[in-house]
Amino acid sequence: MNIDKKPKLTLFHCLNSFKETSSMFDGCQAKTVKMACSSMTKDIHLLKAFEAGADAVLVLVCPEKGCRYSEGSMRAKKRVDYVKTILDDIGMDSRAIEYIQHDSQKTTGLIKDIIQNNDIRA
Amino acid sequence: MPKKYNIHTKAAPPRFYPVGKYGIIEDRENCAGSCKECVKKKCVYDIFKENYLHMSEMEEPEYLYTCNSCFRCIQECTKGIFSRVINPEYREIGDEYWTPDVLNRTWYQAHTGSIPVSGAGYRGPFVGKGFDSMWTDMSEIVRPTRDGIHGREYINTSIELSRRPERLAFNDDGSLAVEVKPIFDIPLPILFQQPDFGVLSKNVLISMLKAAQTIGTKLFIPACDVNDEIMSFASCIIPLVTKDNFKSYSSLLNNVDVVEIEYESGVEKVFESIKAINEKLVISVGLNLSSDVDYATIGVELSKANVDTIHVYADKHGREFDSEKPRFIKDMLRDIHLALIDAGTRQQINIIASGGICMAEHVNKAIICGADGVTIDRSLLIAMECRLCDRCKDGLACPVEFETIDANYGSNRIVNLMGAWRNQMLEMLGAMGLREARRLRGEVGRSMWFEDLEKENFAPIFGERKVAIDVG
Repeated sequence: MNIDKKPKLTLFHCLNSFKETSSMFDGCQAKTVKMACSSMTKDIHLLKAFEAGADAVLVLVCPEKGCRYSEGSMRAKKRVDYVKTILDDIGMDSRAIEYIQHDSQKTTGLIKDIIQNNDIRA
Repeated sequence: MPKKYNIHTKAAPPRFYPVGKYGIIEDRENCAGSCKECVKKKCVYDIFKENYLHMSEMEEPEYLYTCNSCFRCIQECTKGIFSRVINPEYREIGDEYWTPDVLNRTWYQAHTGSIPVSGAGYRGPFVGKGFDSMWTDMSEIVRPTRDGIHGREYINTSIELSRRPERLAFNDDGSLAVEVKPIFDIPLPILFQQPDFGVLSKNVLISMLKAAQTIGTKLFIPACDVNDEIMSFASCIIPLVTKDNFKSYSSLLNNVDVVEIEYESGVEKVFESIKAINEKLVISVGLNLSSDVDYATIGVELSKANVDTIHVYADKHGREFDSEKPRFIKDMLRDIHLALIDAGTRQQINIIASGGICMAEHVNKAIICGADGVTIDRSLLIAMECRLCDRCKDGLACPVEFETIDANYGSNRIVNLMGAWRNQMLEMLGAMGLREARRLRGEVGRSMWFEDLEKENFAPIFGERKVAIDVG
């Protein structure tokens, strides 16, 4: 077993404000999925990310009052919560999926913390 | 009868889902679930079905922005749970010149080898900058052709790269009194250039060279980048050398047909030394179109030296280098072309134009402005699915994994693109009543320019424009 395998992270995010930088995902293999609105995240897509081999899934959404489609962030949150219950039901760790509300100051640091603190299961 | 030149295309589906334009947001929590009129099943393009199939194939989770924007689902859903959106990634690819639409159309042509058609007509502005401020004159369309553009009336797209004598002269015995060099021609007025960015792996280079070999054109590549792995394609290579370093590449120059030497003051003095290495070499001089040089005068001086071709370079948007108000390549080409005509040397040499050529129409328009042919670089990468996302410049991974491309697949895509471009050129030439790409050179009578149209048609009614539109 290769214990040095880099964990795989899938990040779904709304296009607003989030910009990927080269060092952001150091220490993990990251796949980013850009969306016009975070409400395009469906439960099946989130589960699909795990099926495709992701160790962790992050959903980055706009602040609830800042959503251009007014309810997008709220809907995304509900879908993440739903997927968490499914993961619990099937015996997977529901912490493998997280929902982050975008804050231009903190988002990059938050993602780095998640990777560095081994919140992602390698 | 000589064989007709044709580019044979073969469909090459993309390796990755192309960045589509439209997508659908679905507020599925609001779905009635029992209306039995679900618009998802009625989608004429099967977009929703395709989405589910995509998911069932265990592929990476991606949204398929393949919606064709017919609005049927949005209008007919009984609960109105759908909204149409433009894919955010689509807006981000390319730039203001290499627009997302240019990329999308190039991908389509590289995939199918067919001319892209649009049933919705042109909805853009009447006039734009650069090549968009001139139109080709299709006045010779009088009826549909009986047997299409590949029919009996062959349209020749070949151009020469070798120098021609000013005029023929004969001795009393009827023999030629002037030296006539062998004609060196290529069947398409399009040459390739190694791009200045991107993941230029061995397979990417070989893809370009294979495509050049298949269609009979050539690839400009710095001599220092030519290695043993690509020497088998030597006949398709035009090495770029300088006045100081060409002697170090003498073995390479012995194996190629054409060489390009970078323009420097006094460059014409080394032509003899280059010919001494390989007498048959066709010499091209690469000249940057920079605002601090008088390129028209330099062009005239070079044309009087023993040069075969002048290769002029504009930037990636077809603009002049080092200028606060850069001119567009069409105006710069006109200057050089007309200066050569005034000097009486235009018929002897050839002009190849680089920079800003991103569509088939640009080839014909550049030729109308005075070029003999053009080179393309970025379009080669786009044909191989490049998204011009510039991630490689930031050290990020390539979204279409250029490093893993198969050379046969890459060359197939480039050949398809060239096939589609040539067909469009033939359509335009046929509609202009021309049977030779060489006849189009400097033929401004077959074009319409915004400034002229406005002056001739609107000025008599509305008067002269007080504030000029910048169409340069």
